Amino acid sequence: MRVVRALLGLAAVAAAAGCAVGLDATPVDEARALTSPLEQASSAVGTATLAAELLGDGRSTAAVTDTALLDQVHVLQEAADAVATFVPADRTGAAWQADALTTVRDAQVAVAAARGWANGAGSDEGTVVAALDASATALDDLTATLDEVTGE
Amino acid sequence: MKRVLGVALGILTAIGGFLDIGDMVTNAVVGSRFGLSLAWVVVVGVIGICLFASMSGRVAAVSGRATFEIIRERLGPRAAGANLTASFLINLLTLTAEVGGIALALQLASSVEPRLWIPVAALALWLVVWRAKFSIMENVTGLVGLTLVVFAVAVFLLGPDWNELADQALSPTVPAAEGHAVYWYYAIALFGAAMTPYEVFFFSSGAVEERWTVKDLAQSRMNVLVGFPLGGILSVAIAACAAIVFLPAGIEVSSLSQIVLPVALAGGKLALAVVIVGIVAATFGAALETSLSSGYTLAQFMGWSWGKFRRPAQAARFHLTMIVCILVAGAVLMTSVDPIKITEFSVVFSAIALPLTYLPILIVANDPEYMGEHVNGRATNALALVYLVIIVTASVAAIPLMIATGAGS
Amino acid sequence: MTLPPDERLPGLVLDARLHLLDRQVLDVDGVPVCTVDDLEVHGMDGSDRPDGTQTAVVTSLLSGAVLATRVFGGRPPSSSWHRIRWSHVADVGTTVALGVRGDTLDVTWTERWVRDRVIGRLPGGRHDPG
Repeated sequence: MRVVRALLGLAAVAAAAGCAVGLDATPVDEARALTSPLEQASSAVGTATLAAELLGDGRSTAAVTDTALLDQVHVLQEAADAVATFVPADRTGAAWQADALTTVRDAQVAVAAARGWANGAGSDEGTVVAALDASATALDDLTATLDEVTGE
Repeated sequence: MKRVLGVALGILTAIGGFLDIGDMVTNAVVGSRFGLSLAWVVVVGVIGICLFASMSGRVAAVSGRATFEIIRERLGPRAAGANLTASFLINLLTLTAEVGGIALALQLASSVEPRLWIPVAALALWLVVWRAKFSIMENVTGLVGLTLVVFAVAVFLLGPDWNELADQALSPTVPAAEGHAVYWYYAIALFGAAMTPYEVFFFSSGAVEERWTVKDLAQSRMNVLVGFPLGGILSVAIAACAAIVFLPAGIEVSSLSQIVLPVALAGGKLALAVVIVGIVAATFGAALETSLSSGYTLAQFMGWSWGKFRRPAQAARFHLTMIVCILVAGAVLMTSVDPIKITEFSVVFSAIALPLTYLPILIVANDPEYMGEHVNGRATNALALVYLVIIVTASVAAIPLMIATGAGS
Repeated sequence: MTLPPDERLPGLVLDARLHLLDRQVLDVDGVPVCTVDDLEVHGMDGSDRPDGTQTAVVTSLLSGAVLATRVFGGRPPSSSWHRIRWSHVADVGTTVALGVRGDTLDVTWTERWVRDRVIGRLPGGRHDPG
């Protein structure tokens, strides 16, 4: 009985390990796995844009915008981790991963710049918001490409 | 003015119960992902908490016995002990989240790192629990917490498409991007957040602290009928703000700082200042409510002397319990754990502990030995039985759904 | 244990399990003392473990460590029992009222210990909340 249980356990571990490395992952699965962190990053950039614009319009305080941007830095970090730890099965997947990493990193740069501006370090609102917008567009484009694969 | 202050207990209980850090975040998350399609859960929750809080308030006013004494007396030491363990841990979890919430709200006001605010928040909390009169505590936090009405004002200022909001709320459907399991997981989280047991522990013990008697039954009913619906309306307003600003932009709420952005968008710096004051007051109120509840539940289970109307030395173990809980909460937070994550768990775990709290209240509210002529009427009992079915269903479904959906992710 | 035949008696009938166990005990000033965690019952013939065949009387209310045996089962050593003699009980209603002050009783030693060692020493601990 004990042997049977041990074997079952081993089988379960093997199955889990197989899934984790993406042995049988189809392109659709891969695209889906990357879409979710990209959506997270879009959400962070959207929040950052709103927070920056509010500060520019004098509707928000520096402290609130700073905190909102800081929180989004953390969200982007999570998204970047998810993309970076993704294991692609083939060349297409690897290319997607590289694209995703670049766009998420660009988003991090844009949000960090916005935070610098909110705390009075260089740059101006126009540049900051333009960089955030560009980052949002890049994220949306990549998500759209992946969505075509998943058919969602 | 006396009449206004007369409902302070209900307002503090409801603001602490409905607009604590867990509810604010859960409501905003739900608004940003599901629009108002889960608003019906808040309505169900408000009716439920009104029903059982008014029962526990009536029991406290008529018999002078607070809820956990009754739980112990009716369920015996085993079942009541299980309930105590669960309630106490949930309380501690919630208290931890609230102290973290105070720190996060103060970060919004100052952009000073929350870790530095935690000791300040914990000390202030203890000083109020230790020294302030119950009536002053409830009036100040209740009245200041009312500034959260600014969320409702913001909904109007944002000038939303009312037809669409009404459509989301009145004919709820699961949005295409979300699964059914996730929808129901959040339904249970909202229900648990609305009916959190610490609200009845606090409300009934508060009634004893204020020495309510049969003469105050009308006041007790007023407290319930004003406080909880107000809390419910404001929590729907938070969801609506998120639904108006974040849902179309595809933004998912994950932090407290996002919740105040729609208010800033609607009302500018003034509204922003008001909402931050409100959030500090509400999380502080909830922290008071949960730290007192931890003392109330343990003291009432063990039969210890309790109450803020006594000198601390005359309710020594009660005060020691609260001191230990506040210290533990502060210590846990200093490990840099995310308070928002803690609230998500505490809200769902409270859904699990609901039946063990609400069943004894219903039984005792029907016991003429305690209640005399003030036992439940037939309509109340019928409604309460319907709610017990809902409560048990939510409690059973909570854990499987939490596992199946990866806690709603 | 067989129950006596159900007779309607004119006086107040108390069921030990229903009306005594787990009730709040208040002292003569209405201050909570403890909860009735268990009862000490003696047979009229003097035995301390009545088996139900003889008439028995409640001699003391018990509180403290005996709670653990109510939850987990077993019988605690009688040295760890904290008794409130039945003769101190003044009234039994939705609470058990005593005719003495709680401070004089054995069962409140933890309360006194915490008060004297911790709470009473903190500033403001002995003053009314203001």
